[in-house]
Parts: sequence; C-alpha cells; structure tokens
Amino acid sequence: MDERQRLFAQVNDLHHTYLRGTPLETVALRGVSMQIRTGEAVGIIGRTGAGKSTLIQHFNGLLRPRQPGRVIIEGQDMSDPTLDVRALRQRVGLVFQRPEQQLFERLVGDDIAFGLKQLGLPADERRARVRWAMELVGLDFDRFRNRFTFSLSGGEMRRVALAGVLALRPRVLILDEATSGIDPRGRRELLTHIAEWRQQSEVTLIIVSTNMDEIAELVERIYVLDDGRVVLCGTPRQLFADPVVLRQYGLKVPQVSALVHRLSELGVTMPRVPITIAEAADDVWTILNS
Amino acid sequence: MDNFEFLRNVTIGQYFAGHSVIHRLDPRAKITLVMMLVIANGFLFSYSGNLILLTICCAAVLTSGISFRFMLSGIKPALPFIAFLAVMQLFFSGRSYRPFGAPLQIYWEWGVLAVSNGSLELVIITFMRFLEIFLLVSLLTGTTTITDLTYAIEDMLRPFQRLGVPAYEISLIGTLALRFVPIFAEQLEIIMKAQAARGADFAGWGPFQFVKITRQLARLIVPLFVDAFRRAEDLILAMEARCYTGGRGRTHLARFRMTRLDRALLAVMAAFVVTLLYFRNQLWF
Amino acid sequence: MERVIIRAQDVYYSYEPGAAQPAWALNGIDLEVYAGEYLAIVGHNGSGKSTLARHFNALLTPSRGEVWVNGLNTRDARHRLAIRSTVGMVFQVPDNQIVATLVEEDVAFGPANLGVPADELKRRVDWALQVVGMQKFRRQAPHLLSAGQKQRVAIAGAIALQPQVLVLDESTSMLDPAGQEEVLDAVRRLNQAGTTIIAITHFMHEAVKADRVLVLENGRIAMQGSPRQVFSQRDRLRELQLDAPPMADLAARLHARQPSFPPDLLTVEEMALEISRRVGRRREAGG
Repeated sequence: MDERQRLFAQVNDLHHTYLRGTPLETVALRGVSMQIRTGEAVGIIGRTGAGKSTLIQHFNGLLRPRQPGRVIIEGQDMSDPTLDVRALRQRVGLVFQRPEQQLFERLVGDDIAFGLKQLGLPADERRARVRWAMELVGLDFDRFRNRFTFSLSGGEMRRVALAGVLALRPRVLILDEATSGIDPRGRRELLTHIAEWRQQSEVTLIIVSTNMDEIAELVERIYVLDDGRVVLCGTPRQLFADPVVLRQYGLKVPQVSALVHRLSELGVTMPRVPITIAEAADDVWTILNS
Repeated sequence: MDNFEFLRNVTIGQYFAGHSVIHRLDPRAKITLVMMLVIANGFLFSYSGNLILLTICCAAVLTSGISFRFMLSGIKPALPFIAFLAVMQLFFSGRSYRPFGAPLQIYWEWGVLAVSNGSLELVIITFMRFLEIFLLVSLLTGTTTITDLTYAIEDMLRPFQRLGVPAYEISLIGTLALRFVPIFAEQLEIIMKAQAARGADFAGWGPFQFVKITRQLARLIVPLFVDAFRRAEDLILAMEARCYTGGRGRTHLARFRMTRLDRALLAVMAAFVVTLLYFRNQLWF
Repeated sequence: MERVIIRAQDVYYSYEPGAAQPAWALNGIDLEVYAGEYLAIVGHNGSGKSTLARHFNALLTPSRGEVWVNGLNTRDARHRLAIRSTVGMVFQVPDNQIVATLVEEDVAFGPANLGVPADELKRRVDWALQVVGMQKFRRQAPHLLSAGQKQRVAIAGAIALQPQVLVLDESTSMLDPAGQEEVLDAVRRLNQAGTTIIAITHFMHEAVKADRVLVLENGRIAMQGSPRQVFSQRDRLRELQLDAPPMADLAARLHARQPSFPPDLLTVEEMALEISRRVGRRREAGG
C-alpha cells in the first residue's frame, strides 16, 4: 500500500471563513494542519467555537478548501471540482450533533434506508443492510422497522440516526459532538456500540467533543483546537499530564489525571498519568505500598 | 446551494450604524414622520408636488450619512419589473390618464396603443413616487435597528390596547420572528448537511427539476417543523414559568424619550404635509 | 430546624391520566425542600427528574397527591403567579428561553409580566445582570452570545422575579466545560446569598457540590442523603445505572483493597490529601 493510502486525511494550512464578504464574516479556521492515518482513532477537542465542526466538514466534502489550504482525503485532492463527492460520503460517514433532530421519514426502516436509496442499491440489499445496522445499534429489526420515527424516545431516535449512517458501511466514522446532551447511561451505550462496530471492521474513527472523559478511552491520539488553530497534539496520556495548559483552552482533564497533577504539587510522584479509574486504582495502590 | 450558507441571505432591512441626526431621532417620531410622508405621497400626482417630496427624501438621506449608492443598489433586482410596468403604462394609458394641469396631447398612436403627455407623466410620476417610498423605508430601516422598530411599534400600539388591539402580542410575534429566523436558517443548514452527508444531492437545482426539488424540500421541511414545534413548546413553558399571561397589565422598560427636536420635527412636518395636501391642486405643474 | 419551602406529598403523575393503564412518570414522591439548601436531583433520562421539577412551579400539577410552595397548594390556579414568582426555573436549551431581541428586555420579561413599575423594573434588571456578571452585555442581541452567556441571561431573567428558589433543569447539559463553570459559579453565588437551589443534573461533578442529593428511578426516590452518603454506595449506584463520581469510585476501589482507606471521598482535593498523608506516614515509618 503506498504512502498516500495509509493516510485517511492530510490537511495543510487550512483556512475557512464563514459568510466571507458580508458584515457577518467570521474566521473559523486559521491555518490548521494535521494527518489522520487509516484505521486510527483520533479525537478532536476544543471549546465551543474553536473550529472543530468546520474542520471535520472538510473531511467529507461539505466544505471545500480555499487556497492556500489543501485537504487530501483518501489520496484525493478536495479542491478538485470533478471529485465524486457523493461516493466519498458513502465511505466517510458523518453523524452530527443531536442526530435525532434530523430524522424525516415516517417509518424507522425508511429513514435508515435513505442513504442506501441514494446509492441506488436494490431493495433486498437495502433490507439486509438496514437489518445489520439496526442490530448494530441495538434496535430489533422486526419490532422497530415499521414504527413511526417520531413516536420513539429520544435515545431510540438517536440510535435510528446512527444506524442510518452505519448502514452505508462507511470506512470512516466521524462523530460531531454526538453525545452532547445525553445522560451518562445513554452516552455509555452509544460509545459501546461504536466500539463494537470498530472491532467488527477496520475503520477510522474521528470523535469531536468538548468532553475529555468520554474520548479518553476510545482514541489513540488527540488534537486540541483553539480559535481556529491546532494548539496541542498527543496521546491522551501526554495531554492529560498538564491540566493547566488544557484549562487555558477551556478544557478539563479527567479527574483521575487531575489527581496526579495535584499529588505532584503535594510532593507525591505517580508512575504515569492514568486515564481510567482502574489505572488510577492500580497506581495509587502501588504508591501506598512501596 | 452547495455553499450551504443561508444566513448570507437573511439581511432584512439592512441597518447602517451611524450618529447622524436621523439616527438619533426617537424611532416613534421617525415612524410617524415616514407615515406622514407616505400619506402625502398617496395624494400627490403633480410633478412639482413629487419634486418637493423627492427633495425632502434626498435631503434626509444626505443628512443620515448613508451612501446613496448603497441605498439605490436595493432597487436593482426590481428594475426589470419597473421597466416592464413603465412600458405598459407608456403605451396603454395614453388616452386614459389625464395629465395634471394641462390638456391631453397625444404624441403617437396605433390602434389601442397611444403615447401622450398623459402617459409620459404617468410613467415619470409613478417612478418618482416609487423612489420616494423606497427611500423613506430604506432610510427608516437604515437608521433604526429592527429591535428599536419593534419596540417603537409596540409603544405606539399600546394606547389602543384599551380598544382591544393586542399590542404586546403583535410585538411579540415580531420579536420572536426576529429571534428565530436566524436560528431556523442555521437549523436548516444543519439538516441539509446531515442529509448531504448521507448522499443527498443538493447541487444542480436547475429551474426544471420540480419533482426532485419538491421531494427534497419535503425531507427538509419535516425535521425543520419538528424542530420549530419543539422550540415553541419549550418557549411556552419558559414564558409561563416567568408569569406570562398575555399583554394586559404588562409594564415595560422605558426605552425611548422624545426630545424637543423630535417634537419640533413632528410639528413642522405635520404642518407642512397638511399645507401641501391642501394646496395640492394649486401647484404649478 | 430549617424552614420547609417546598413540600411534595405522595405525588403521582402520568402524562396520559385517562389511559387504561397509565404510565406513571412520578410514582409516589414524598419530599421536603428546605430554604437555602442546594439540592441536586440526579437520575438517568426517564427517571422523572424534569417531571418532578415542573411540579415545583406549578407547570404541572400532580395526578394524585399534593405539592405546596410556601404553604400554597399548586393545584389552586389563584396561587399560580405567586408560586411562579417564588420558584424560578431555567431550562436546558439556552435559545428556547430567550424571548426578546435585547438582553435587558429579556431579563425584564418576568417582572414586566407582573406589572412591576418601570423604575423598579430597571433596578431589577441591573441587579440581576450584575449577579450573573452580564452587565456589559445588557444592550446586546442574544444571538451574538455564547451558550454559557445565554444561560446566564436566562438565569438573570429568572432571578429578576426575585424568587426564593431557583430550579435548574439540566441547564448545563448543552454547555462546554468553560460554559458550565460560568453558570455554576453564578448559581453558587446565588446560593450563598440565600437562594434555594434545586439542580436537576446528570453531571456528577455538579452533584458532589450540593448539600443534599436525591436519586430518582422510575419516578421514585431511590436514594437520598448528603453527597458523601449517596456517592459512596457504588454498587447501589451501578444498579441504578448511574456512575459514581470518579473520586468516589476510586475511593471505593481502594477501600476494597484496604479497609482502612476511607470509602467516601468525593473530590480530587480530598483524595490527593488523603493519599499524600498516607505516603507521608509511610515515609516516616519506613525511614
């Protein structure tokens, strides 16, 4: 496999301005550069307004780069006007914030099948995929496929929306603050489904969030955005070592990591920066018994 | 359509910030002054009458400091229609429109069509009157924020509440529309992007793709309406929680204060308009 | 003994009271809220938290049972305005609470509805904006504000009615960490000045700072007590499908390995101090 295909995304000096040329002009991205390898799980975090959504909308062609910025997705230059954007969107799935607010079909099965119809798949193939996607998100096919979309609970609707994207069998899944506004149980369920799906297929995962805890366990690398720029990059363990810097960017580290920082202020050195409670328990136990 | 930026088109009555005399007038006075001039406009059909009005409008625009060019650029989209109307008037009103203070003189005719000093006058007067209204409204919205306009209208309607006019409710409708139109524009953008992300094709909305556009619109309208109803429910709860029980008995923050200048201008304009209308048939041409 | 400001007695509520088998959103709630306290109500979605909250200001009245606010029964429509001026409420979605196109007009909305005279109105708006730290923005259009700022405006709008109780119905769930801190700071200031706070939340880091925590499940109160009492019961919380706050979870795990380790720590500070104390002792003992 050549170098280009080992990268899902290559972003160079990307800028983006909304409503350019009007009095309401706002600059969202000021020269972002990053790389995402195929099969990686990456987190993109930052406070509201940092430019996260703007950035990821370049990954499936909803936004196009302007000179001098360059965006290469799966080896294709996104400034190429002849690019087949719809084919790209089948491979790169994007789930927006509050996806349950974007359902529009009367029946659950139809809504999930929407993207498949756009692809022109035959009816039996569509049904098979809808069944697969529904099972993946924990909705029983026979019980739910003919339910009215708007009669479902919030959590169920969210799962329908997720299934609608998964049914396309994307190779890349981007979640744009997909867990904002859900309670911890709902969030845990959603992330479990995502983790399961990721295990089933070798996919690239990009999670956008303002919440450190939730992505700490899922991603290998994190990019921190602030005011339209990449300000930090590293593994969760590397980033959580410095809560002070992250606080500057409006972000909080998981409490277990903040604990390490506070302990070092009190003169106790921990062997590493834990990112889960289990790790913290082990580390503290070691410290207390050495 | 591929651009997805709808907020770009949401510029209702473009406001130009400034410190001119006109900007600083009480909005209620401004609305009243404009109304008086619009009434005058409705009754003046002579060249001289409209010249006077047009001069007043132009003087006001100059005073406000807003560039004429910006203002007039708003007419551009309407020009084809104006031109079309002018041509119709020129050729079809030759015999029916009596010119002001002068006998009818037909310059050219052919069957049903006729061009006369009457139809010529009609074209010119119509254009002048249109220009006056356009300048007045643009000036009003250009020097007064929509928020101020909404509260001014509420203030002005309030005395009529005793007669059953729901002043606050009317104002509330306006305010809520102003608050939520940008929110819905943003919401629509998100909905479109979410569907595009699943393969929907919004590019190429040509003029003849009715079926395609209708089907796509239906898919956009449903979630937008659901969102709107949800917001409406939330808003009702929030308003009830803050003791909203309708416009009766409500007080309000004192927002505007009429100065001597406002009152003076109102008096002068009232006198002027009354005089103008009284003598409108004695004008020279 | 502290004064009871809100009392709920054997409250049942169903959204479909006429149905043959009504689903009960509230299943027999008995509750007293004390003046000046900071009460957190937690529970997963569907446990009845919001439904209960809306009984506190008579937006909903019980299908069965009674609710009293300062001795006024919420069923009595004549008391409604008095009750809603006593118990203010801030909701989850910032945009869907703001009615006016200017911040100061929105803050004035509540008292204006009650016919408060113009000069008193202005005084209340000034005061409310100052409490939440938004005076600079009084003439701003709300759509230019951040979500955290909008929520603070919503709080100002609620306190302009000078309520004794402020109910926050998941008011931080749509905010980023910085926005949450802004809002919680303002709320804490209010509580310190004497306002009773009832915070419906699913964020544990909020609930640990409360005076008292109520855990709802299936419309019933499943657990009740101080944060320390409630959050140290890790197993019970797991049964209720709730997460213990991270430090409480950590304390429980360490306690399981070493019974002398306190099982009821709540904050990073407490945990850090406890650990460093023990390490210090070991160092001294070890030499």
